[in-house]
Amino acid sequence: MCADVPTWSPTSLDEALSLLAAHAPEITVVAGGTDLMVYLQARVMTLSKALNIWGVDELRGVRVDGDELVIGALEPYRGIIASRLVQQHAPTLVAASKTVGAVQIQNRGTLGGNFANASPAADTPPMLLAANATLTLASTRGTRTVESTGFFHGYKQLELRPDELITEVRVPCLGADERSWFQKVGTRRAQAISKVVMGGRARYAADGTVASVGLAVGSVAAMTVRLPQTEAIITGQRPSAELEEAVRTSAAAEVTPIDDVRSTAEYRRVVTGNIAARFVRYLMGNP
Amino acid sequence: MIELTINGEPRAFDVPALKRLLDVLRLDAGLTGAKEGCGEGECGACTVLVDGHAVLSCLTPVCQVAGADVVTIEGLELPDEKLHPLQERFVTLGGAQCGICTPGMVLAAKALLDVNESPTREEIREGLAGCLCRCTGYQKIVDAVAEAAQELLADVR
Repeated sequence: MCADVPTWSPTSLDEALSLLAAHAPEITVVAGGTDLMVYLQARVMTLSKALNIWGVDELRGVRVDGDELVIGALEPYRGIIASRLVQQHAPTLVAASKTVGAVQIQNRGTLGGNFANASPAADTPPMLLAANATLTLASTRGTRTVESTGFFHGYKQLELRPDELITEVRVPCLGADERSWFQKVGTRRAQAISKVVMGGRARYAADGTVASVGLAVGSVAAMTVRLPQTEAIITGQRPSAELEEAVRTSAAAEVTPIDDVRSTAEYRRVVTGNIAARFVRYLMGNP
Repeated sequence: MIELTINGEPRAFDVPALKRLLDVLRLDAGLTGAKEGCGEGECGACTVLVDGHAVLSCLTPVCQVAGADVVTIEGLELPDEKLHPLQERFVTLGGAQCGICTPGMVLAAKALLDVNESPTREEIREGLAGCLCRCTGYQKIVDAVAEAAQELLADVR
């Protein structure tokens, strides 16, 4: 029923990193297990060693550090949704977290897991990439900060070395001159894996034009991607009906979706254009 | 050896660390209330409470509930074999049909009512959204939870 895999359950980060250093790359990190346990049960993955980090409490918690919201990589979605700090400084992270599975998954799933598992359909990376969030990676060799926009190199190819652990996600706090937006399109409201999932964040200049913008989308490529061509079309412009149409065309052309069990490439392309257009309409209504 | 509390009783199991909590409950503890529906976190039939929170026991490795307080549907019954008001209302209002989803539904509802004693119907639907009923008797399930919530509230007052 279940192979007896050597499993370590550290309770401190130092201990976890030492174990990781000693056993990498054969050891697999287990956070909330909401993806990993599915793979094990379906026998599409086998483990030779496991590092159960669920007891490393120092990887949990939410705080503000300067102009950044800092979320522990092991903080479950439940805590993110309930956090006043997240509600205030990164409301679209709350919105995205609420679309992850349902209550039972939100009690176990984590932000670090969402990045490390690297599903192209993951719900939280789009809004975090759009916001230029960073990830803190730790190992016994030290700590480094990587841009979330540079974390995914390809399908499940990560900017994460075998002895490194994601310890925190840092999100720039939403400024008074900024607007953020999130939309997920799935088959049903709960427990759905996305067909298209998108996050956007725009900063206005004093004259009402968009000074800078981040737009990222999941489920339409081998990994969560930013849409730089579409962002360039929006930048410097005042949100308008014309811009909405230009963005619809651009976003649809910029993604590389595939046909799979959840949807078709054509559907995803059209929906990507439509919800990107909706982002511009949102900006029009929220100058 | 993994030690935890199940329905108020301290238990210990000599099982693989990554064994599913669902299998430990059903095969090792002999508690078959939690059901296996999909085995991949989609249906909610295996829902149990861990430290008061609803989780999917099919996706929870048992090593991650070491020291935790686990409640299954068997643990909801009151003394003298009296049913919990949630169970009572599922029975009297027709919230249980074939019964496979019922333990998960009742425990998800329990977790909801523990933090929201007077939920709206929309909040009940959201709280139970991770549980699928293939008999599709959702209206009566929501009725049962709403009714039980009122009763529990009246009891408290």
